[in-house]
Amino acid sequence: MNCQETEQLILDAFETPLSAAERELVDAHCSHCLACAQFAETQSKLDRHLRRFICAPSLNTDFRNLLMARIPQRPRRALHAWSPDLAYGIGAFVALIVSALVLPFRPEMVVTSGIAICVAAYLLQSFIFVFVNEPSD
Amino acid sequence: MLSERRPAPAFELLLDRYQKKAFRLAYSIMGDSASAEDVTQDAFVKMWQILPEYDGRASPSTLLYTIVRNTALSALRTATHRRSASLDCSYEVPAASVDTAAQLETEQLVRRLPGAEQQIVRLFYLQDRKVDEVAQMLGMPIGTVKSHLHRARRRLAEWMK
Repeated sequence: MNCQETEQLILDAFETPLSAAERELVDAHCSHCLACAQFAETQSKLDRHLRRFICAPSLNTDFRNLLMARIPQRPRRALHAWSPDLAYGIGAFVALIVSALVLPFRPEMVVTSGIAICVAAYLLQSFIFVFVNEPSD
Repeated sequence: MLSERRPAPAFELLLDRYQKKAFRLAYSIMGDSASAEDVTQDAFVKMWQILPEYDGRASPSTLLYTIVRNTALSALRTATHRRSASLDCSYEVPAASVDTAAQLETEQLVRRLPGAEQQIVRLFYLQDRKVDEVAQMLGMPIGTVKSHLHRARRRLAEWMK
């Protein structure tokens, strides 16, 4: 085993324990290679330092209460992807009914009813966005 | 009243199981506990908001870690932008103790590492040296985490000489 392979095994050993055979190979190589023996020693020293000094501060004991205070009682209800289409569909249906009922008798109402239907569809869609998609608390 | 304020059991379970890990991930990116805690809170609030749309394709932990990473990186960008004149992105200075000098020395060495290596080294030791967990938390392949870790070890050992 050459030095490069030995160094690789030495580094691997800090993540997963080496097998007995691998350990023997490393030991055998290091017994006659000063550079690799020093590499192993420096890496062990480094590992000890990192283990000892890298430590996470503990989470604030009030973390959970603070989080709960920010969380609404119920999660947002999901808005289905087809909701706006449904709103427009309903608008179009109403337009059709109104047109069929009103226009034969009052043809001059065509523009007015067109605008009214557009506004109604817009308001319906806005209602769905505001009251279905937004937090309910 | 209290029961009304209780979130869904699934969310509570998620909180029980992952709040520490999420905090550590945030800490490894942010470098100070106060910011890490803010990021963790924001991430859990986002998680709560998207829970109804969660389709179960990704594991909840993967989703949570992605949210934590994105929230932390976004917070970091904002913080960096705010103090663009200063490059002082210091990790918390440990309290005075017998080990303080050695700890500061180690901290300074780790801080000299490039961003990804620094984050991986920290998370590796914060997560009890489990490469697979670090890989999952950072959304990286295990091999990539290992190669970053090995490069970082070689650099640190070189600087320690």
